[in-house]
Amino acid sequence: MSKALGMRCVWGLCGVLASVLLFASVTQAEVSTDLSGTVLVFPKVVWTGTDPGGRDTVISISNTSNQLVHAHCFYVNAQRTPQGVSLWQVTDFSIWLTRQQPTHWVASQGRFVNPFDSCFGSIYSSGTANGYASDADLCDGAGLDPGAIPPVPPGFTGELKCVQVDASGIPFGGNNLKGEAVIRRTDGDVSKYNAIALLATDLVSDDNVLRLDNPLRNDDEGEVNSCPNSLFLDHFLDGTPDPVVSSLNSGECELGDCPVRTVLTLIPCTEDFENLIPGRVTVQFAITNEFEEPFSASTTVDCWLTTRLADIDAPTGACTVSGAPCVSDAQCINAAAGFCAKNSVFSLGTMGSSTAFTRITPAADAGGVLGVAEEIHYNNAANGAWASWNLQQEGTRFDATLEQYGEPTVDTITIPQQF
Amino acid sequence: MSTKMGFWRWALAGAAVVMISGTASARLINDPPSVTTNESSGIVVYPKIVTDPVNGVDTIVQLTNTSEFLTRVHCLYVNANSHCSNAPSRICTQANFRSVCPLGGLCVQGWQETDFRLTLTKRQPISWSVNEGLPTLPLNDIPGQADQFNDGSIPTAPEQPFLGELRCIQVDVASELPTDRNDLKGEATVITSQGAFMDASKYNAIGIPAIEGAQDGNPNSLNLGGPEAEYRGCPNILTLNHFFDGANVVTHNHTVVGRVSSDLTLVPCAADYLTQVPQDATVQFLIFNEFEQRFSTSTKLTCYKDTPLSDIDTRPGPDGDVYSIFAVGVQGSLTGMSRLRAVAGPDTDGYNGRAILGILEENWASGVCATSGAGSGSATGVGLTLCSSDADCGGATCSNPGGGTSLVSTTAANIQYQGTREQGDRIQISIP
Repeated sequence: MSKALGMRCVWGLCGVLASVLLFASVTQAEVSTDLSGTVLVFPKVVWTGTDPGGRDTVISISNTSNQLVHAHCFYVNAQRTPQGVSLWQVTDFSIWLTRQQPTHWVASQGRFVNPFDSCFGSIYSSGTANGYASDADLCDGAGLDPGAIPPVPPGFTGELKCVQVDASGIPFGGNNLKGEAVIRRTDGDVSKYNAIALLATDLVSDDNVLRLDNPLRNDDEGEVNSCPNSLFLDHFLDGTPDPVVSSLNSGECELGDCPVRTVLTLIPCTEDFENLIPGRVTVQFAITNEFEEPFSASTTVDCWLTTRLADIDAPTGACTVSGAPCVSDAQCINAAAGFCAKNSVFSLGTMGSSTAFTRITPAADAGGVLGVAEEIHYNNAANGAWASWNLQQEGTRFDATLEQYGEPTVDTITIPQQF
Repeated sequence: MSTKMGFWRWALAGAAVVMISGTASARLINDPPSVTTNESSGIVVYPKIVTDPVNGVDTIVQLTNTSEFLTRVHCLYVNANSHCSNAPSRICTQANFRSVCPLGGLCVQGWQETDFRLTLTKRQPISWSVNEGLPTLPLNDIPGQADQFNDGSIPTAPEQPFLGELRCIQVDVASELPTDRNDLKGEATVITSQGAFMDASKYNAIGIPAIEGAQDGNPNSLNLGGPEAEYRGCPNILTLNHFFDGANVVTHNHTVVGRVSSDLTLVPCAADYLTQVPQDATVQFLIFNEFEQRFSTSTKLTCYKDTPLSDIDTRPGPDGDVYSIFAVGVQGSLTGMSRLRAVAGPDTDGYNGRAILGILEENWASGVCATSGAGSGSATGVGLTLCSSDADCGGATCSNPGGGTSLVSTTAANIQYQGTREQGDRIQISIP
């Protein structure tokens, strides 16, 4: 290679480097549900079947930039086997989004590439042709297909994670992805939450490991913002009669039997999709009721955890009407025996107030966790309405462990290497 | 010359390679932090508070002191009900005033403030029904762990039915002047209970964090962003993922189908509780569908706006909604992303940003057509067709299987944002 050509290559690389540095910059040093990010985490994705009460998830993702965005997504199936072991099976796929493009798909159905999808019918396919059940199905796929997205298997309960990558599949810290998930029940009841975005700095390396080690606001010292040190959860205490049913529609809350339940979903921040090693974190709960009384509990997040709050420290209870022993509301509801009341530090009977404030903090020098909460508001007839919301946060694991142990705990997300 | 030209030519070529090769780029600036729904803050805003006891609707507000210190809070309800110009006791909307108001009457937007104060002890959460208020706080009469008491009470909603917003501002315990602490977090849950039907939607209050040590000497005026910021500024652009109105969403492995529409609630970031002057803003919308096609529209916001998306560019009410650029039939794809930008006012003192905050509420069909049921098949070929009106049932009746009048299930979501703006906004409050 001649010297002149060599110099041209050097200047060219300078241009590439300058462009990357110019266009990728971090904004805030926490995970966020307000901003777009480089890693999108949907902690709760479910497809539990078509029986009454079955739930399915609609995923929406948008590219908030004016450039083409590539992302590599991972479904993690944490469905429990009959032996109580989590499957932790990973299915991955790639999506491409043009500038400012939104897209969506349904977990149970996936989204296949078909340029003839249309909301206005098609000369090529209509009615039940081409495997589609209806025009609504055809319209569902209308738009620029983001790539082939596989359906999840029936019974899927787990998470979805999407990592922004460049055209070659290497993680790229563009911070251009935002997303939402709607969980819909067969009778139309819905709950929606924002995907959690992990923001990257311009220091993302060109390997397959994302280090969640950016410590402080706007310091841009690490690759990706560290996970929160504590998650904040405001919640109704388990078994609290729904205040609206009991006051405005008391006939549907006889004997105060119209409970509110809170279901918490947590996932470890560290995940290794290359070696299929799930994360495991023990978390401590510090609970304060309306009388400022403190309580505590703990549990372990092994790969993925979704639990009714009262189940954390009270595995069994009794049906409110029959008094029969139970482990879940479903047992009592199916037997027309009321609801499954438990003696837990998350229960109304223990705490004595309607709501509580819970701080969730990983134990010792463990890595961080992310999560989302859902409430189900029951009436006497056991008709329940779900509502989900994002958890709030305080601090970062990087800073907290550095301060406490002198060595920071760094979570990592490892995606499969290209081959 | 040739060396310099060579440098620029090859450097630009290199940059072009990055652009063309498909890597992404959006953030040209290091966005300064703005409002948050992730952290506790000095001001929390609940954009949508509704009660309608006759129809079994109420909002449960949760407010928590996340700190270990006694905290005082100054809260302000804003009643945004509209009333008939010729019958002030009648509540109306722009969609129904022709039938609600006496002949010749117009529907006048309201903006009335009711404020209250309370204290929260160490890490204390409280909750209350907006319909019922909270005459006695949990630690009014007995002390908490640190011998601290609650002080104050929470009034009931000033009018029934009620539509409006709630803001709570952290103030100093002794002086009751605004403080630079960030200890408040909150949530609102809108619950509907009609017959055996239940519905619930929940969102996080939007926090506006105070900047440590930035409180100026004017406690009446809270500067959000801008040249003399005491609190973080409000967002420059709101980014909103939504289904287009009327989108027929198929789920459950092609066995359940039903339409969805959305309501948008917007409030100005600025508020003048001192002289009771409602704030306004013009909001520009850019809407992208799944074909990357771009549409735009705009609307006026005077103190409070709660509107179906389709009514932003068509007349209020269902008439003409199918011609809206927010209608699925116009867009041809089920989902879109809208970017909302409130137009800043003339820059006189750096505080005419006219930024906005908001939440989105989706209404998913949950009624059942008289002719369809699970597994019975329907005109669409899908197992169960959920309806939100008779029109969805091809002439049959759409009804709520639980016996209520509501034919939709709702879910709320916080709206995301990008960046902040140079000009700030001000909240003017009265000091006791």
